[in-house]
Amino acid sequence: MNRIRSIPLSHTLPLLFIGLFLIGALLITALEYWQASKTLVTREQQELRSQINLLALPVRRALERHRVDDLSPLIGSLSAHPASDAIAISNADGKVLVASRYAWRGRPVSEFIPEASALRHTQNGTTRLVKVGHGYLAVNAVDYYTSGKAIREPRRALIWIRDDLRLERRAILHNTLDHASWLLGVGLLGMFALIYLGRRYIARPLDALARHAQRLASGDYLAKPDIVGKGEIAELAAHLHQLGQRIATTVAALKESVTLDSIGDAVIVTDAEARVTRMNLVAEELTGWPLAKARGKPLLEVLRSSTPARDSRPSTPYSGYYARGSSSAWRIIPR
Amino acid sequence: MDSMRRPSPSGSGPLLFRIVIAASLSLVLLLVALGRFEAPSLLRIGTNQWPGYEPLYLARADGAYSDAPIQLIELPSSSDVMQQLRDGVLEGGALTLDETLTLISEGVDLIVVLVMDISNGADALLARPGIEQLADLRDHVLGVELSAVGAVMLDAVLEAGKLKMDNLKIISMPVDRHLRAFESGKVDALITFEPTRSLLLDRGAQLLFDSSRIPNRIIDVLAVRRDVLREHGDGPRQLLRGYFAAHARMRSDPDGSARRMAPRLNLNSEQLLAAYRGLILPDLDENRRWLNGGNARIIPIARHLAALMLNHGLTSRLPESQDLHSGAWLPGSP
Repeated sequence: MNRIRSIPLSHTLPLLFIGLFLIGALLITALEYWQASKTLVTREQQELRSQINLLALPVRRALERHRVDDLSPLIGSLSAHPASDAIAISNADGKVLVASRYAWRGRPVSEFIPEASALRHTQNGTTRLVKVGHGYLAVNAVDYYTSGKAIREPRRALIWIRDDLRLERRAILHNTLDHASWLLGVGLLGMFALIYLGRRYIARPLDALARHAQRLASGDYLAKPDIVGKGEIAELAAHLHQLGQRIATTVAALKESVTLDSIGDAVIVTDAEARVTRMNLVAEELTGWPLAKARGKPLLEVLRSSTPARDSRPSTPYSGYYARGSSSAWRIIPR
Repeated sequence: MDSMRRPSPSGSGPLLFRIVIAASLSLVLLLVALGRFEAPSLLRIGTNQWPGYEPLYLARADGAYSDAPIQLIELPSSSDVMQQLRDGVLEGGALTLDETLTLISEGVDLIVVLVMDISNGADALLARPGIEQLADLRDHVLGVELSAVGAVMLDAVLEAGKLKMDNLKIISMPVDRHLRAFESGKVDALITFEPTRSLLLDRGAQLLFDSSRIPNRIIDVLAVRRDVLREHGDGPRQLLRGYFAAHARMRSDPDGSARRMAPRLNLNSEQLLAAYRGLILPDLDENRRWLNGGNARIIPIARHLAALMLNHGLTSRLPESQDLHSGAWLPGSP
C-alpha cells in the first residue's frame, strides 16, 4: 500500500518557494545567454558577408588602377567595427597588399592567419566562412584585370576578414548577469512577500488546524479552533468544531445510556413536554415499549398501555425521570 | 498521545526559516553590493603611422591589451583619426596637440590624458637634391599638410629662411601622399615627418630644417572623449599602464624593441632608432609634470598653439586650456 508522505509546511514552504524561484531564474538566465549568443553569431556572420560585399568593388577598382593604398581609409573605417580583428587584401599567392595592420603588408597572409592556406582557392564571388579561434574568418576572391598594359591580364585578389567575438561574448555575459541580478533581487523580495503570505495564510492556519485536531484526538471535543475568516481551511476548522460538538453529544448520550442501563429500576427520561427521549432496559421491559418505538411518544401513552400492578402513574406530564422501583410505584425525579 | 504530537512550531522550523531568509537577504545585498554587471565598454583608439605612437602597438604585441576591451585602429592619416572622432566611431585618438585643439573647438569633447612625444627633429623640411638651403626654396613647390603642425613648421621655416609665403608655391597634401608626390616630382620640397622623413632621406632628399630648432612646439598627445573617461575610466587606465610598460621596455631594450616595431612602420630598426633620436618620449614622471595641476606644462604650449591657429584661420575659437588635460588616468594617480 502506497503511503503518502507529508512534510511540515512551515519548514519547507520558504525552501520550496526560494528553490523553485532560483531554478526558474537560473533557467531564464541560461536561456537568455544561449539566445543572445546564437543571435550574436548569426549577426556577426551577416556582418562579415556584408563587409566582404562592401569591399569587393573598391578592391577591384583599386587593384585595376594600381592604387591599393586608396583602400586604407575604407579598411581603417571597417576595422573600427567592435568585433573586427583584422582585414587584409592579398594577391592570389597570399602576399598581403594592404591590411588593417600595417605590420602585415608585404608578408604572407598565412603567417598571421594559419587557416589561410586552406582557403586560398576560393571561387570568385563566393564568400567562405570558417570558425577560427574566438570568431570567424571570411574570405572572398575578387577577379580583376590589370590596366595600362597591351594585354589585359586576369588577376585575382583575396579579401580576408577575421573577427574576434570575445568582447561581444563578454558583453552578453555581463548583460545576462545584470538581468539575472535584477531578476534575483526583485524576485527574492517577491519571494519574501510570498513566504510571509504563505506562512500567514497557509502554514499557520494549517498548523492551528493540526493543533485543533490534536486537541480533538486528546478528548477535548468542545475546544474552539483559533482560526477565523473564510476559505477552505476556516471551513475545515468549522466542520471539525461541529464534529467535535457532535462527538461530545454522542459521547454524553452514550455515557447516559450506559448509566441508565446499569440501574435496576425502570427509568424513562422525557423532555419538557413529557415526550420520551430515553428509557432503560428495565423500563422497556415493564412498559413493553422498545425505546425505538417509544422515543417521541407522550409519556402517558407509553405508561397507559403498559400493565403495572398498581397504577401510580402521574396524572400530569412532568419533565424528568420516571422510575418504578420495587414499590411498583412510578416516582418523578426532577432533573 | 505523545506519539501523535506534531513537532513544535517553535522548534527547528523558525530557525530554518530565519536561516533561509538571512541567506536570501545576504544574496540580495551581495548583488546590490556588486553593483551593476556592466558590459565592458570598448575603447577604440585611432592612430596614424608615427614612431611616437608605437609604444601602444608594442604594448599590444606584448599582450597588454589581449584581454582588455581595447582596440587600436590603424588609420592612414591623422585626418582619418580626426574624422572618426568627429563621427563618434572612436573613443580616443593619438593626435598632435593642434589637431586635438581643432577637434575641441569643433565641439568634440576631448581630454588629453597622455603626452606621447615631443618632436625634436622628427618633423622636418626635406628638399630634392640641388636645393641646399632654405633660401633656395624660393619659387619652388612646397608640399605641406594643412594642419597646425604644418603651420608651426612653415612659420619657423619662413622665419629661418627669411622668406614670405608669396616666395613659394605651397600646396596642401595629406602625409600619406607625400612619398608618392616627392617621387613623382610633383613637389620640390616637403614639410613632413617620420616615417616618411626617413624614407625620403633614403631616397636622397636633403634635410633643410627640423623641429629640433623649435623645441617643445610640436607635441603628440593621446586624447580621449570626456564621457568615456567619466563612465569607463578603467579602459584608459589599462591603456596607459600598457603604454608605460612598453615605454620602459623600449628604454631597457631599445634594439630589441626597435626590431619588433620597425616592420609596422615599413622601416628597418636602424631607421627607427634614428627616427627616435628626433623625438622625446616623456616617461611617467615627465607626463605628470606635463599634465598635473594648474601649472601643467601643456597649458602655455596649448595657448601659444591656439593663438597661432587663430592667426592662420585654422580655428575659430580658443578652447579652455584649464579644461584640456588631466593626469588622473596616469598609472599611480588616485
